[in-house]
Amino acid sequence: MQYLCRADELPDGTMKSFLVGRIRVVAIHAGGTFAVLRDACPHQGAPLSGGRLTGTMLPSGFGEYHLARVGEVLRCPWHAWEFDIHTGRSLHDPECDRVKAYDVAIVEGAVYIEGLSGPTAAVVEVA
Amino acid sequence: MTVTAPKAARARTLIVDCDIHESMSSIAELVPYLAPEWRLWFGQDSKPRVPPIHPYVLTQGGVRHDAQRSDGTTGGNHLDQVQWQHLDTYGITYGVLMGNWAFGAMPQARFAAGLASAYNDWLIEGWLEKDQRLLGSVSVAPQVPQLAAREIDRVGGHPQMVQVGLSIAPSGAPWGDERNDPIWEAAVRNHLRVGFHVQPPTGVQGAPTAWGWPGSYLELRSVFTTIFETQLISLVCNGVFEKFADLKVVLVEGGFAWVPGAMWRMDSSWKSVRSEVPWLRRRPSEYVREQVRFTTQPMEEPPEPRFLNQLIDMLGSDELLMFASDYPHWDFDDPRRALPPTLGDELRRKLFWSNAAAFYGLSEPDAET
Repeated sequence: MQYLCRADELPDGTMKSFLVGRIRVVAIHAGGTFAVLRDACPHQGAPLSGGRLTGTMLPSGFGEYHLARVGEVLRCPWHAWEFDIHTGRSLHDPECDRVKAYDVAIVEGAVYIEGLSGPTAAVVEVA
Repeated sequence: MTVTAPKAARARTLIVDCDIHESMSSIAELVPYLAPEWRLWFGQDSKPRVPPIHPYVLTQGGVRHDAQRSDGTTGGNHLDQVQWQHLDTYGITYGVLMGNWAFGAMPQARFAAGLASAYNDWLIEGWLEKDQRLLGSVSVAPQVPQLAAREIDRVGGHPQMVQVGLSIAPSGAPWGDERNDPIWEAAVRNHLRVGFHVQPPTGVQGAPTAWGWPGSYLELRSVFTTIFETQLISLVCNGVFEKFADLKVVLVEGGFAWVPGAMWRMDSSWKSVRSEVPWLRRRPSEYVREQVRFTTQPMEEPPEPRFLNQLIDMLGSDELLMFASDYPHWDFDDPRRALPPTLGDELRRKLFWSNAAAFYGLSEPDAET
Protein backbone atom coordinates (compact mmCIF):
# COMPACT_ATOMS: atom_id res chain seq x y z
CA MET A 1 0.00 0.00 0.00
CA GLN A 2 1.15 3.47 -0.82
CA TYR A 3 0.67 6.35 1.60
CA LEU A 4 -1.05 9.32 -0.05
CA CYS A 5 -1.98 11.88 2.58
CA ARG A 6 -3.56 12.35 5.96
CA ALA A 7 -7.35 11.99 5.79
CA ASP A 8 -7.82 15.35 7.50
CA GLU A 9 -5.98 17.06 4.65
CA LEU A 10 -9.09 16.34 2.59
CA PRO A 11 -12.20 17.93 4.09
CA ASP A 12 -15.51 16.42 3.06
CA GLY A 13 -16.53 17.51 -0.43
CA THR A 14 -13.03 18.35 -1.60
CA MET A 15 -10.40 16.76 -3.80
CA LYS A 16 -6.67 17.07 -4.22
CA SER A 17 -4.17 16.01 -6.84
CA PHE A 18 -1.02 13.99 -6.10
CA LEU A 19 1.88 12.70 -8.07
CA VAL A 20 2.79 9.13 -7.13
CA GLY A 21 5.96 8.24 -8.94
CA ARG A 22 5.08 9.46 -12.43
CA ILE A 23 1.34 8.93 -12.14
CA ARG A 24 -0.99 11.75 -11.24
CA VAL A 25 -4.03 10.82 -9.17
CA VAL A 26 -6.88 12.73 -7.61
CA ALA A 27 -8.06 11.90 -4.10
CA ILE A 28 -11.64 12.70 -3.25
CA HIS A 29 -13.49 12.84 0.07
CA ALA A 30 -17.24 12.28 -0.28
CA GLY A 31 -19.25 12.03 2.90
CA GLY A 32 -16.77 10.03 4.96
CA THR A 33 -15.59 7.80 2.13
CA PHE A 34 -12.49 8.34 0.09
CA ALA A 35 -11.88 7.60 -3.57
CA VAL A 36 -8.77 7.91 -5.70
CA LEU A 37 -8.82 8.14 -9.49
CA ARG A 38 -6.21 8.63 -12.15
CA ASP A 39 -6.12 12.41 -12.60
CA ALA A 40 -6.51 12.43 -16.37
CA CYS A 41 -9.70 12.33 -18.38
CA PRO A 42 -9.69 9.49 -20.93
CA HIS A 43 -11.14 11.90 -23.49
CA GLN A 44 -8.50 14.60 -23.91
CA GLY A 45 -6.38 14.18 -20.81
CA ALA A 46 -7.64 17.11 -18.75
CA PRO A 47 -6.74 16.91 -15.05
CA LEU A 48 -10.01 15.83 -13.47
CA SER A 49 -8.96 17.57 -10.26
CA GLY A 50 -9.66 20.85 -12.07
CA GLY A 51 -13.28 19.82 -12.48
CA ARG A 52 -16.25 19.80 -10.18
CA LEU A 53 -17.60 17.39 -7.60
CA THR A 54 -21.29 17.33 -8.24
CA GLY A 55 -24.38 15.15 -8.58
CA THR A 56 -26.32 13.89 -11.52
CA MET A 57 -29.88 13.50 -12.70
CA LEU A 58 -31.32 10.00 -12.59
CA PRO A 59 -33.19 8.68 -15.62
CA SER A 60 -36.74 9.99 -15.33
CA GLY A 61 -39.95 10.65 -17.16
CA PHE A 62 -40.09 13.60 -19.56
CA GLY A 63 -40.03 16.91 -17.72
CA GLU A 64 -38.96 15.43 -14.38
CA TYR A 65 -35.63 15.95 -12.65
CA HIS A 66 -34.33 13.73 -9.89
CA LEU A 67 -31.02 14.91 -8.52
CA ALA A 68 -29.00 12.15 -6.91
CA ARG A 69 -25.49 11.03 -6.00
CA VAL A 70 -24.52 14.50 -4.91
CA GLY A 71 -20.78 14.64 -4.26
CA GLU A 72 -20.15 11.28 -5.93
CA VAL A 73 -19.83 12.47 -9.49
CA LEU A 74 -16.70 14.15 -10.80
CA ARG A 75 -17.24 16.30 -13.85
CA CYS A 76 -14.30 16.98 -16.13
CA PRO A 77 -13.29 20.65 -16.48
CA TRP A 78 -13.32 20.33 -20.28
CA HIS A 79 -16.44 18.98 -22.04
CA ALA A 80 -18.06 18.17 -18.68
CA TRP A 81 -18.00 14.36 -18.89
CA GLU A 82 -19.30 12.79 -15.67
CA PHE A 83 -17.44 10.03 -13.78
CA ASP A 84 -18.47 7.89 -10.83
CA ILE A 85 -15.82 8.68 -8.22
CA HIS A 86 -15.91 5.14 -6.78
CA THR A 87 -15.58 3.14 -10.00
CA GLY A 88 -14.04 5.66 -12.39
CA ARG A 89 -16.66 4.72 -14.95
CA SER A 90 -18.27 7.48 -16.97
CA LEU A 91 -22.00 7.85 -16.61
CA HIS A 92 -22.58 8.08 -20.37
CA ASP A 93 -20.61 4.96 -21.38
CA PRO A 94 -19.44 3.03 -18.30
CA GLU A 95 -17.87 0.22 -20.34
CA CYS A 96 -15.77 2.21 -22.77
CA ASP A 97 -15.10 5.62 -21.25
CA ARG A 98 -13.57 5.09 -17.83
CA VAL A 99 -10.72 6.29 -15.73
CA LYS A 100 -8.61 4.07 -13.47
CA ALA A 101 -9.97 3.84 -9.91
CA TYR A 102 -7.58 2.73 -7.17
CA ASP A 103 -8.47 0.70 -4.11
CA VAL A 104 -8.31 2.92 -1.05
CA ALA A 105 -7.71 2.07 2.58
CA ILE A 106 -7.90 4.41 5.57
CA VAL A 107 -5.46 3.33 8.24
CA GLU A 108 -5.05 5.34 11.42
CA GLY A 109 -6.28 8.54 9.78
CA ALA A 110 -4.15 8.21 6.67
CA VAL A 111 -5.20 7.54 3.08
CA TYR A 112 -3.44 4.64 1.34
CA ILE A 113 -3.89 3.31 -2.17
CA GLU A 114 -3.16 0.00 -3.85
CA GLY A 115 -1.45 -0.52 -7.15
CA LEU A 116 0.91 2.44 -7.22
CA SER A 117 4.15 3.21 -5.50
CA GLY A 118 6.79 5.87 -5.57
CA PRO A 119 7.63 9.26 -4.14
CA THR A 120 4.41 11.14 -3.43
CA ALA A 121 3.82 14.85 -3.69
CA ALA A 122 0.82 17.14 -3.82
CA VAL A 123 0.36 18.81 -7.19
CA VAL A 124 -0.34 22.52 -7.31
CA GLU A 125 -1.37 24.07 -10.59
CA VAL A 126 0.73 27.05 -11.58
CA ALA A 127 -1.43 30.12 -11.25
CA MET B 1 6.57 17.98 -0.38
CA THR B 2 4.90 20.02 -3.10
CA VAL B 3 5.72 20.11 -6.78
CA THR B 4 4.28 22.16 -9.59
CA ALA B 5 2.28 20.59 -12.37
CA PRO B 6 4.56 19.52 -15.20
CA LYS B 7 4.66 22.07 -17.98
CA ALA B 8 4.09 20.90 -21.51
CA ALA B 9 7.16 20.12 -23.51
CA ARG B 10 8.14 22.91 -25.88
CA ALA B 11 5.96 22.86 -28.93
CA ARG B 12 7.35 20.78 -31.74
CA THR B 13 4.77 22.09 -34.09
CA LEU B 14 3.50 25.44 -35.32
CA ILE B 15 -0.07 26.08 -34.28
CA VAL B 16 -2.62 28.70 -35.22
CA ASP B 17 -5.52 28.60 -32.80
CA CYS B 18 -8.44 30.07 -34.73
CA ASP B 19 -10.78 30.57 -31.78
CA ILE B 20 -9.77 32.16 -28.49
CA HIS B 21 -12.21 34.16 -26.40
CA GLU B 22 -11.02 37.32 -24.81
CA SER B 23 -13.75 39.02 -22.81
CA MET B 24 -14.52 41.89 -20.51
CA SER B 25 -15.13 41.09 -16.86
CA SER B 26 -17.66 43.92 -16.95
CA ILE B 27 -19.06 46.15 -19.68
CA ALA B 28 -17.83 49.04 -17.51
CA GLU B 29 -14.35 48.35 -18.90
CA LEU B 30 -15.54 50.02 -22.09
CA VAL B 31 -16.53 53.30 -20.50
CA PRO B 32 -13.11 54.97 -20.88
CA TYR B 33 -13.15 54.09 -24.58
CA LEU B 34 -16.71 55.23 -25.28
CA ALA B 35 -17.47 58.40 -27.20
CA PRO B 36 -19.02 61.01 -24.82
CA GLU B 37 -22.45 60.83 -26.43
CA TRP B 38 -22.65 57.15 -25.66
CA ARG B 39 -21.49 57.57 -22.08
CA LEU B 40 -24.65 59.59 -21.63
CA TRP B 41 -26.63 56.49 -22.59
CA PHE B 42 -24.75 54.43 -20.10
CA GLY B 43 -26.50 54.99 -16.81
CA GLN B 44 -25.40 52.81 -13.93
CA ASP B 45 -28.53 50.69 -14.12
CA SER B 46 -28.18 50.05 -17.84
CA LYS B 47 -24.75 48.42 -17.69
CA PRO B 48 -25.97 44.93 -16.80
CA ARG B 49 -28.32 45.05 -19.77
CA VAL B 50 -25.64 45.33 -22.46
CA PRO B 51 -24.61 43.59 -24.47
CA PRO B 52 -27.57 41.23 -24.29
CA ILE B 53 -26.72 37.66 -23.42
CA HIS B 54 -28.50 34.61 -24.70
CA PRO B 55 -31.24 33.17 -22.52
CA TYR B 56 -29.84 29.67 -21.98
CA VAL B 57 -28.37 28.45 -18.70
CA LEU B 58 -25.42 26.14 -19.23
CA THR B 59 -25.58 23.56 -16.45
CA GLN B 60 -21.97 22.62 -17.11
CA GLY B 61 -20.88 26.27 -16.97
CA GLY B 62 -19.81 28.37 -19.92
CA VAL B 63 -16.13 28.39 -19.04
CA ARG B 64 -13.72 25.55 -18.29
CA HIS B 65 -13.91 24.88 -14.58
CA ASP B 66 -10.14 25.08 -14.34
CA ALA B 67 -10.19 28.54 -15.94
CA GLN B 68 -12.65 30.05 -13.44
CA ARG B 69 -11.31 32.28 -10.71
CA SER B 70 -12.47 32.76 -7.18
CA ASP B 71 -13.26 36.45 -7.82
CA GLY B 72 -15.90 35.45 -10.37
CA THR B 73 -13.79 36.35 -13.40
CA THR B 74 -12.52 33.80 -15.90
CA GLY B 75 -9.38 33.08 -17.89
CA GLY B 76 -10.67 35.01 -20.88
CA ASN B 77 -10.85 38.21 -18.81
CA HIS B 78 -7.11 38.24 -18.19
CA LEU B 79 -4.35 38.46 -20.76
CA ASP B 80 -1.85 36.89 -18.34
CA GLN B 81 -4.06 33.83 -17.85
CA VAL B 82 -4.60 33.40 -21.59
CA GLN B 83 -0.83 33.50 -21.86
CA TRP B 84 0.15 31.06 -19.10
CA GLN B 85 -2.77 28.69 -19.27
CA HIS B 86 -3.06 28.53 -23.02
CA LEU B 87 -0.54 30.21 -25.34
CA ASP B 88 2.54 29.20 -23.34
CA THR B 89 1.31 25.79 -22.21
CA TYR B 90 0.56 24.63 -25.74
CA GLY B 91 3.11 26.66 -27.63
CA ILE B 92 0.47 28.45 -29.70
CA THR B 93 2.23 30.34 -32.51
CA TYR B 94 -0.70 32.64 -33.26
CA GLY B 95 -4.06 32.87 -31.56
CA VAL B 96 -7.06 34.53 -33.15
CA LEU B 97 -9.17 36.46 -30.66
CA MET B 98 -12.78 36.26 -31.77
CA GLY B 99 -13.99 39.65 -30.54
CA ASN B 100 -17.50 40.36 -29.33
CA TRP B 101 -20.43 39.86 -31.65
CA ALA B 102 -23.15 40.32 -29.03
CA PHE B 103 -23.47 43.97 -30.10
CA GLY B 104 -25.20 42.57 -33.20
CA ALA B 105 -28.16 41.51 -31.06
CA MET B 106 -29.00 45.01 -29.83
CA PRO B 107 -32.05 46.82 -31.21
CA GLN B 108 -30.44 50.21 -30.51
CA ALA B 109 -28.10 49.79 -33.43
CA ARG B 110 -26.18 53.06 -33.27
CA PHE B 111 -25.42 52.67 -29.59
CA ALA B 112 -24.34 49.12 -30.40
CA ALA B 113 -21.97 50.50 -33.04
CA GLY B 114 -20.53 52.90 -30.44
CA LEU B 115 -19.94 50.01 -28.05
CA ALA B 116 -18.28 47.95 -30.78
CA SER B 117 -15.88 50.83 -31.51
CA ALA B 118 -15.00 51.11 -27.84
CA TYR B 119 -14.49 47.36 -27.69
CA ASN B 120 -12.05 47.46 -30.60
CA ASP B 121 -9.98 50.14 -28.89
CA TRP B 122 -10.08 48.13 -25.64
CA LEU B 123 -8.91 45.07 -27.58
CA ILE B 124 -6.07 46.84 -29.36
CA GLU B 125 -4.75 48.54 -26.23
CA GLY B 126 -5.18 45.73 -23.73
CA TRP B 127 -4.47 42.66 -25.83
CA LEU B 128 -3.08 43.05 -29.34
CA GLU B 129 -0.43 45.60 -28.43
CA LYS B 130 0.72 43.50 -25.49
CA ASP B 131 1.29 40.18 -27.25
CA GLN B 132 2.34 39.80 -30.86
CA ARG B 133 1.01 36.23 -30.95
CA LEU B 134 -2.52 37.53 -30.68
CA LEU B 135 -4.51 38.39 -33.80
CA GLY B 136 -7.73 40.34 -33.61
CA SER B 137 -11.24 40.35 -35.01
CA VAL B 138 -12.91 43.69 -35.68
CA SER B 139 -16.16 43.79 -33.71
CA VAL B 140 -19.04 45.58 -35.38
CA ALA B 141 -22.77 46.16 -35.07
CA PRO B 142 -23.94 44.73 -38.39
CA GLN B 143 -27.50 46.00 -37.93
CA VAL B 144 -26.41 49.07 -39.92
CA PRO B 145 -23.95 47.65 -42.46
CA GLN B 146 -22.69 51.10 -43.47
CA LEU B 147 -21.68 51.85 -39.88
CA ALA B 148 -20.03 48.44 -39.63
CA ALA B 149 -18.06 49.23 -42.79
CA ARG B 150 -16.94 52.54 -41.32
CA GLU B 151 -15.66 50.78 -38.20
CA ILE B 152 -13.85 48.20 -40.31
CA ASP B 153 -12.14 51.07 -42.15
CA ARG B 154 -11.26 52.75 -38.83
CA VAL B 155 -9.44 49.86 -37.15
CA GLY B 156 -9.04 47.23 -39.87
CA GLY B 157 -5.61 48.52 -40.79
CA HIS B 158 -4.09 47.54 -37.44
CA PRO B 159 -1.34 45.06 -38.32
CA GLN B 160 -2.72 42.41 -35.95
CA MET B 161 -6.35 42.69 -37.08
CA VAL B 162 -6.98 39.74 -39.38
CA GLN B 163 -10.73 39.51 -39.73
CA VAL B 164 -14.15 40.96 -39.12
CA GLY B 165 -15.86 38.99 -36.34
CA LEU B 166 -19.56 38.28 -36.76
CA SER B 167 -22.13 35.99 -35.21
CA ILE B 168 -23.39 33.27 -37.52
CA ALA B 169 -26.85 34.48 -36.48
CA PRO B 170 -27.53 37.53 -38.65
CA SER B 171 -29.06 40.71 -37.24
CA GLY B 172 -32.16 40.49 -39.39
CA ALA B 173 -31.74 39.59 -43.05
CA PRO B 174 -29.73 36.44 -43.83
CA TRP B 175 -26.02 37.06 -44.37
CA GLY B 176 -26.33 36.62 -48.13
CA ASP B 177 -28.81 39.50 -48.41
CA GLU B 178 -27.42 42.36 -50.49
CA ARG B 179 -27.99 44.86 -47.68
CA ASN B 180 -24.96 43.30 -46.00
CA ASP B 181 -22.71 43.95 -48.99
CA PRO B 182 -20.99 47.00 -47.45
CA ILE B 183 -19.55 44.69 -44.76
CA TRP B 184 -17.97 42.32 -47.28
CA GLU B 185 -16.78 45.24 -49.36
CA ALA B 186 -15.05 46.80 -46.35
CA ALA B 187 -13.48 43.50 -45.32
CA VAL B 188 -11.99 43.03 -48.78
CA ARG B 189 -10.89 46.68 -48.96
CA ASN B 190 -8.97 46.21 -45.70
CA HIS B 191 -7.53 42.81 -46.63
CA LEU B 192 -9.44 41.19 -43.79
CA ARG B 193 -11.13 37.82 -43.61
CA VAL B 194 -14.58 37.38 -42.10
CA GLY B 195 -15.07 34.99 -39.18
CA PHE B 196 -18.58 33.83 -38.34
CA HIS B 197 -18.80 32.37 -34.84
CA VAL B 198 -21.47 30.20 -33.30
CA GLN B 199 -23.86 32.07 -31.05
CA PRO B 200 -27.20 31.25 -29.53
CA PRO B 201 -29.16 34.08 -31.16
CA THR B 202 -30.78 36.66 -28.98
CA GLY B 203 -32.36 40.11 -29.30
CA VAL B 204 -32.86 41.19 -32.92
CA GLN B 205 -31.20 38.02 -34.13
CA GLY B 206 -34.40 36.09 -33.46
CA ALA B 207 -34.78 32.47 -32.41
CA PRO B 208 -32.24 29.71 -33.10
CA THR B 209 -34.64 27.88 -35.41
CA ALA B 210 -37.37 29.07 -37.73
CA TRP B 211 -39.81 27.32 -35.39
CA GLY B 212 -38.63 28.89 -32.19
CA TRP B 213 -36.55 28.03 -29.19
CA PRO B 214 -35.17 24.59 -28.36
CA GLY B 215 -36.06 23.55 -24.82
CA SER B 216 -32.60 22.43 -23.73
CA TYR B 217 -29.02 23.42 -24.31
CA LEU B 218 -28.36 19.93 -25.67
CA GLU B 219 -30.98 20.51 -28.32
CA LEU B 220 -29.69 24.01 -29.02
CA ARG B 221 -26.07 22.88 -29.36
CA SER B 222 -27.18 20.14 -31.73
CA VAL B 223 -29.09 22.49 -34.01
CA PHE B 224 -26.32 25.10 -34.21
CA THR B 225 -25.13 23.38 -37.37
CA THR B 226 -28.40 24.26 -39.06
CA ILE B 227 -27.76 27.97 -38.49
CA PHE B 228 -24.37 27.60 -40.14
CA GLU B 229 -25.85 25.61 -43.00
CA THR B 230 -28.60 28.13 -43.76
CA GLN B 231 -26.17 31.05 -43.66
CA LEU B 232 -23.50 29.38 -45.78
CA ILE B 233 -26.13 28.50 -48.38
CA SER B 234 -27.45 32.07 -48.22
CA LEU B 235 -23.97 33.51 -48.90
CA VAL B 236 -23.40 31.13 -51.79
CA CYS B 237 -26.81 31.40 -53.48
CA ASN B 238 -26.96 35.18 -53.24
CA GLY B 239 -23.71 35.39 -55.12
CA VAL B 240 -21.69 37.02 -52.33
CA PHE B 241 -18.59 35.00 -53.29
CA GLU B 242 -19.06 35.91 -56.96
CA LYS B 243 -19.53 39.60 -56.18
CA PHE B 244 -16.55 39.63 -53.84
CA ALA B 245 -14.07 37.25 -55.36
CA ASP B 246 -11.43 38.19 -52.77
CA LEU B 247 -13.74 37.57 -49.83
CA LYS B 248 -12.69 34.67 -47.66
CA VAL B 249 -14.71 33.56 -44.68
CA VAL B 250 -14.33 31.05 -41.88
CA LEU B 251 -17.17 29.36 -40.04
CA VAL B 252 -16.05 28.96 -36.44
CA GLU B 253 -17.38 26.35 -34.04
CA GLY B 254 -20.03 25.15 -36.45
CA GLY B 255 -18.66 21.69 -37.18
CA PHE B 256 -17.92 20.35 -40.65
CA ALA B 257 -19.54 16.91 -40.92
CA TRP B 258 -22.59 18.57 -42.51
CA VAL B 259 -20.57 20.40 -45.16
CA PRO B 260 -20.21 17.63 -47.80
CA GLY B 261 -23.97 17.05 -47.80
CA ALA B 262 -24.69 20.78 -48.11
CA MET B 263 -22.28 21.08 -51.04
CA TRP B 264 -23.74 18.03 -52.81
CA ARG B 265 -27.27 19.27 -52.37
CA MET B 266 -26.49 22.77 -53.63
CA ASP B 267 -24.63 21.35 -56.64
CA SER B 268 -27.48 19.00 -57.43
CA SER B 269 -30.07 21.80 -57.27
CA TRP B 270 -27.83 24.10 -59.29
CA LYS B 271 -27.69 21.63 -62.16
CA SER B 272 -31.46 21.70 -62.38
CA VAL B 273 -32.44 25.27 -61.57
CA ARG B 274 -29.35 27.35 -62.11
CA SER B 275 -31.27 29.70 -64.40
CA GLU B 276 -32.91 30.97 -61.22
CA VAL B 277 -29.51 32.13 -59.92
CA PRO B 278 -27.63 32.96 -63.10
CA TRP B 279 -25.11 35.00 -61.13
CA LEU B 280 -23.59 31.74 -59.93
CA ARG B 281 -21.09 31.04 -62.68
CA ARG B 282 -19.69 27.95 -61.04
CA ARG B 283 -20.93 25.03 -59.03
CA PRO B 284 -21.85 26.16 -55.51
CA SER B 285 -19.32 23.77 -54.00
CA GLU B 286 -16.50 25.49 -55.86
CA TYR B 287 -17.17 28.76 -54.03
CA VAL B 288 -17.14 26.87 -50.76
CA ARG B 289 -13.83 25.15 -51.46
CA GLU B 290 -12.14 28.32 -52.61
CA GLN B 291 -13.53 30.93 -50.25
CA VAL B 292 -14.78 29.20 -47.11
CA ARG B 293 -12.91 27.54 -44.27
CA PHE B 294 -14.12 25.67 -41.17
CA THR B 295 -12.62 25.26 -37.71
CA THR B 296 -12.27 21.97 -35.89
CA GLN B 297 -13.63 22.64 -32.41
CA PRO B 298 -15.80 21.04 -31.17
CA MET B 299 -13.95 18.29 -32.97
CA GLU B 300 -16.21 15.85 -34.76
CA GLU B 301 -15.83 12.56 -32.88
CA PRO B 302 -17.19 9.77 -35.09
CA PRO B 303 -17.31 6.30 -33.53
CA GLU B 304 -14.61 5.10 -35.94
CA PRO B 305 -11.57 7.37 -36.35
CA ARG B 306 -11.33 6.42 -40.03
CA PHE B 307 -14.67 8.14 -40.63
CA LEU B 308 -12.87 11.42 -39.97
CA ASN B 309 -10.46 10.79 -42.82
CA GLN B 310 -13.39 9.84 -45.04
CA LEU B 311 -15.18 13.02 -44.07
CA ILE B 312 -12.18 15.11 -45.07
CA ASP B 313 -12.02 13.20 -48.36
CA MET B 314 -15.66 14.06 -48.90
CA LEU B 315 -14.94 17.75 -48.42
CA GLY B 316 -12.96 17.44 -51.63
CA SER B 317 -9.94 19.25 -50.22
CA ASP B 318 -7.71 18.91 -47.18
CA GLU B 319 -7.23 22.67 -47.06
CA LEU B 320 -10.62 23.61 -45.65
CA LEU B 321 -10.12 22.82 -41.96
CA MET B 322 -8.24 24.87 -39.39
CA PHE B 323 -7.56 24.02 -35.75
CA ALA B 324 -9.39 25.87 -32.97
CA SER B 325 -9.39 25.34 -29.21
CA ASP B 326 -12.20 27.66 -28.03
CA TYR B 327 -10.17 28.56 -24.92
CA PRO B 328 -11.43 29.18 -22.24
CA HIS B 329 -14.89 27.82 -22.98
CA TRP B 330 -16.20 24.64 -21.39
CA ASP B 331 -15.81 22.49 -24.50
CA PHE B 332 -12.17 23.50 -25.08
CA ASP B 333 -10.17 21.17 -27.33
CA ASP B 334 -6.60 20.34 -26.33
CA PRO B 335 -4.24 20.72 -29.33
CA ARG B 336 -2.25 17.71 -28.11
CA ARG B 337 -5.28 15.45 -28.14
CA ALA B 338 -8.02 16.83 -30.37
CA LEU B 339 -6.63 15.78 -33.75
CA PRO B 340 -6.30 11.99 -33.74
CA PRO B 341 -3.01 10.45 -34.95
CA THR B 342 -5.00 8.52 -37.56
CA LEU B 343 -5.20 11.76 -39.54
CA GLY B 344 -1.49 11.42 -40.27
CA ASP B 345 1.31 13.93 -39.80
CA GLU B 346 0.86 15.81 -43.05
CA LEU B 347 -2.82 16.44 -42.55
CA ARG B 348 -2.31 17.38 -38.91
CA ARG B 349 0.31 19.91 -40.00
CA LYS B 350 -2.19 21.41 -42.44
CA LEU B 351 -4.89 21.65 -39.80
CA PHE B 352 -2.59 23.09 -37.15
CA TRP B 353 -0.66 25.49 -39.31
CA SER B 354 -0.57 25.70 -43.09
CA ASN B 355 -4.28 26.01 -43.82
CA ALA B 356 -4.71 28.89 -41.37
CA ALA B 357 -1.35 30.45 -42.28
CA ALA B 358 -2.47 30.57 -45.92
CA PHE B 359 -5.94 31.83 -45.00
CA TYR B 360 -4.73 34.66 -42.75
CA GLY B 361 -1.46 35.31 -44.58
CA LEU B 362 0.77 34.39 -41.64
CA SER B 363 4.42 33.52 -41.78
CA GLU B 364 6.53 31.60 -39.34
CA PRO B 365 7.82 33.91 -36.58
CA ASP B 366 11.59 34.43 -36.40
CA ALA B 367 13.30 31.72 -34.42
CA GLU B 368 14.86 34.20 -31.97
CA THR B 369 11.61 35.88 -31.00
